[in-house]
Amino acid sequence: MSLEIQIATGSSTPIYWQIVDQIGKAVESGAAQPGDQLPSVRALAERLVVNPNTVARAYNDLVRDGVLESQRGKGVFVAERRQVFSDAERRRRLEQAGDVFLHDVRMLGFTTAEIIDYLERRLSEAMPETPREVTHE
Amino acid sequence: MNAGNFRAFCAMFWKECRENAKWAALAAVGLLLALVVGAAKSNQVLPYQVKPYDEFWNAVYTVIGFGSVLTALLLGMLQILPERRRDQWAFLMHRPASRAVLFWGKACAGLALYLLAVGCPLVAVSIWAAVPGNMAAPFDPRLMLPGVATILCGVNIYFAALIVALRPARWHGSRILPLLAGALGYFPLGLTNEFWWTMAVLPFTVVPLALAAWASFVAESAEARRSYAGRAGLALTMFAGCSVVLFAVFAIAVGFYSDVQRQGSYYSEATQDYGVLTSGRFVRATSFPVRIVGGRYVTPQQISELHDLSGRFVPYYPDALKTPTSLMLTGTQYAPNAWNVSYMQPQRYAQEIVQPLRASSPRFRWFYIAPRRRIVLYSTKTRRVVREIGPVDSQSSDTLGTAQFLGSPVSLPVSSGLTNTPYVFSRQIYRLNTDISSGDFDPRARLAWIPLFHKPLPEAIVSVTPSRSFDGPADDTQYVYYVCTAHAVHVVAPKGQVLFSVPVPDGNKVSVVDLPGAHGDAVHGGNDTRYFFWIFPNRIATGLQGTVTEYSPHGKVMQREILPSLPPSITIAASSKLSASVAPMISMFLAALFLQSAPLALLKAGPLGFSAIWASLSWLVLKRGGFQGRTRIAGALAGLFLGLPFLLTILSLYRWPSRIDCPQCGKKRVVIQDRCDHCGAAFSAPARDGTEIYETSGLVMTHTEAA
Amino acid sequence: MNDFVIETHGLTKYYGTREVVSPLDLAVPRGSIFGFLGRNGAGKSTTIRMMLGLVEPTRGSATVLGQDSRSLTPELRARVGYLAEGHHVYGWMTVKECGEWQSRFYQNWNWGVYNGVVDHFGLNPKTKAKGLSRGERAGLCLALTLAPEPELLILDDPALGLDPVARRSLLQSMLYVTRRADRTILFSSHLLSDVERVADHIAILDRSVLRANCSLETFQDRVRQVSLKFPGTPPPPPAIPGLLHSFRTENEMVLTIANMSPDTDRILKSLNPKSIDPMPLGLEDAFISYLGDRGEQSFFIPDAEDVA
Repeated sequence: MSLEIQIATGSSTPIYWQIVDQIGKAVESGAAQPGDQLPSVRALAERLVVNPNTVARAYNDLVRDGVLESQRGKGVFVAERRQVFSDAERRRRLEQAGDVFLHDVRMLGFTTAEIIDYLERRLSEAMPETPREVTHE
Repeated sequence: MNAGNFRAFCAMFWKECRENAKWAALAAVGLLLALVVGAAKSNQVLPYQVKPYDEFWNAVYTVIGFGSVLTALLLGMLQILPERRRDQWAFLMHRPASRAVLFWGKACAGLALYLLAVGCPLVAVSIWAAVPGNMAAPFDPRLMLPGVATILCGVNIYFAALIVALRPARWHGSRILPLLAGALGYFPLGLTNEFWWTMAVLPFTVVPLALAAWASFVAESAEARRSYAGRAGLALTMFAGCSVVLFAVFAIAVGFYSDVQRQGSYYSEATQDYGVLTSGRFVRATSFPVRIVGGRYVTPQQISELHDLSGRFVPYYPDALKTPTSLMLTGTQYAPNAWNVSYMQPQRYAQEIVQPLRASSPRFRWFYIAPRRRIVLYSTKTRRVVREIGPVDSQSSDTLGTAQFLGSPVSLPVSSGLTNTPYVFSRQIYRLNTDISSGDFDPRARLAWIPLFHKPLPEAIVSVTPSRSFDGPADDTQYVYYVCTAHAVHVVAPKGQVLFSVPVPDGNKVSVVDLPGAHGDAVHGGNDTRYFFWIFPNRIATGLQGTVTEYSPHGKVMQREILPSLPPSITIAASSKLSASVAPMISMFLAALFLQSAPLALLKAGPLGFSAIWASLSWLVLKRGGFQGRTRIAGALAGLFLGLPFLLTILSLYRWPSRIDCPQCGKKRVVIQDRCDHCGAAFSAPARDGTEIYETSGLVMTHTEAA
Repeated sequence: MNDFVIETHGLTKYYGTREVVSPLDLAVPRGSIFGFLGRNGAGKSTTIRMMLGLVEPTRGSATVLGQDSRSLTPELRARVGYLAEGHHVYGWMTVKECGEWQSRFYQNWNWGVYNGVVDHFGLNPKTKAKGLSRGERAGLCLALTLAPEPELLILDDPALGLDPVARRSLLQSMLYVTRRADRTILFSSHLLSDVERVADHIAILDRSVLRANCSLETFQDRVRQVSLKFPGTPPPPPAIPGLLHSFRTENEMVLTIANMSPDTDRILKSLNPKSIDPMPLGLEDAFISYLGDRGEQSFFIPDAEDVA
């Protein structure tokens, strides 16, 4: 399995978040399939040249969230696809993404209706199988 | 030393040798060049000629002496200073070996290089001199000893240089103090006549300096981290350095003080001496050698006033006054004293006895060879031995001598070579029967040294003074030798018979005047020569009285007078006063030992007061340095006894902690103590402003388990 | 076994009357990669030297691996690797000789590690050390320091003057050291990106005073930047505990605050801004605002034309 993780130092996102995000995205996008083994903490730390504690913490969080699963003595694997986040966590992540989006979009001068239209179009493209009514809740 | 330490030592030794070998080689080459230049002389006839024996070896010793100082300084400094840059020093210091191992690795390498750098040129020169045909002079392996001793004394300078390079100091003056202490390490050279004795004294200077260097290496400025031995060595070094500085200042001050004293008087210090008029009358002569106006020497005039012993003025006739000649009674009165020549002087092994006065090129060089007790001739052309001669056995036989000279040489003429010149040995006096003053002689001539006495003297001769220079017939009745032994002066006729002997108490000094028979007066009758002997106790500034005695040629006492002692010189009084203020206790002790009654009166006034001043200043200085009660008291006691040198020593020894205003009471407090001396407040922690981020718990990481 | 490999208690240093290290209490946990940060002249090197017994503290004490740093035994020094500033080596030795020389002092000397690091930095063992570039010399020094496999590694500004490639090699070597959990690294640096990558703990010295001693994460978490929008000209910055830095423009005020608390929120709300928005803050910016000049900074520089 090829796991492409890019670490950017000097950004406002801590390295730990960058790892969690990028593994999460790889699993979401299907680049990493359930059952794939991830590199060990030490191997990944050496490859990314970051502190192993940081990698370990990212793995731990991902295991806790159900994205990965740890098999004692064998290593860390991508978990079977299931609802991975708790409700609270899902809420928090949505808030976070919303914050970033709003922050960027605010000064572009679009009307609210234009933005909602745009969002609906993008959402239907990105998640065609998701029932529409869920987004309107 | 265990195996690990030994490996570390070897690594250090190797590194230091490798780094500094180039400097040692440079020093060796430089020294060799200096030796070549120093040992050669040139004149118009013969450019670039090897110097004669004494000059040659003295030049070698001088060059080796300066060379050893420079080489020791160079190596000591270069081993430390380039490495003393912060990070490089840290790299060296942070290694798993005790600092003693690191230090001795460095020092042993430095010493080895030093010994090689200065030893090799000495050996090279000695080998050259030893090869027959190179020098028209004898060679004795012991001629190398002065060089060896000088080189070994240079070890002091090496350690001193290490200290200078290692030790941070508050002011640069105190930084070079160890060098002065190292210079003191050369004293054993002049202190004794025997090599082994120098070697026995040497450790007393080398060990403290080595300890001080080691202590400086172990802890650059942290006094508490040094061993007691190291601290003692460093303290001793600094004390010696301070003493040298003080001594120099002291000598200048005494000179200045004497000048100030003299400014008040119209004349400079008058010198007084006793003499005798040709009439036989005893007088006291006062000479004003230098006239001083406003502190400056002007017209140097020789004005003398004469008084008789009861103080009456006597009209002065320059020709009528005879002042006495001092005779040498003790072996150390003049240097070089051939009786017991130091191993530092080449004369100990061979003495050149006839040196032509003019810069001619004589065909022969004459040497008295002490170990063989015979005289050897060297041809200056082939530079090899031509002939070996001893004295003749008795006065009568006039053949070439095969015997050995008796006793050790006392004084051998250096530049005369005339007949009748005495060749004085401790048991016998010899005279030469031929004039060899040109350094040249007819090989067919009957050259002989004839003994003066029929039987060797039972007592060792200290000195011989002829009554005048003389080259006439041996039966001149008015010509005598004053032959001094330790307890008497023998008046000896040219043919060897002792006319009479004057006993001299131990430790007195003697001077003599003889009035030839032509001056014989009517009172005592006859035309016999008259001999006057002055005998004075040879102690500085004592109130003891001397005598003057007139003898007839048959030893009969003609008249005797008691003489009051001459006044002590101003300089002694000045130096007594000064030393009593600088180091009161020590100078009182020395005064009690050597000066006896008079100067003690000088010392009564000040010393206790000065002792108290130095003691209290020492106490204050230690208090300022943040030392505790017991140390302060010990320091005060040391100040009491050792005076100003001790005060300077503690000032230069420590890096005094800086002081800041106490935030509590506003007074100055030292930064090294937790609590303020005045109000007892501790130092406050840095102020906080709420932006601090401290996290103290939960720091233990377990990242390997996470994987 | 002690949890801290280095502890200092009131460690203080004066040069003359100048306090270069104010009473410092610091503990370096075992197994951590500890970044020691601060501006030039903040006292980092002096502190490190005091820890290693190379500089005498004026007051206070430090222990290294449980031993008083004033009397470190050779055995203990063998367990502590120290890479001094400036990467000194003896220029006349070859790379191989350097290793041989250094190995004489150590009982445990791992030639594997030495050769590994030397290869990693691409050094030829036959090159004389004086012919090496700055980065190569750093590599050689690092090899000399790592080969005895020290339990505690102290690196004084190891990245100073290194190019990015050498710096990356350095970081990799540091991570290699901590492959065993009981190995600890303390390093001082100005390069925040390096610190961000490898450090898990940081201590910040600011003009001789220890201002932060926490995990990297905590630091990033605690230093925050908020933007306050106002309808008109913003009021002067309020007295907030932990305010590091403020910046005002016509209708916005940006505050950098350490240790935000509910109290802080309350004070901000009391200013009646139009909005309060958190702003993203990278480590470098956080560090700069933490160590930069306190108080308000603005660029309302009077225009030359206005003055005239």
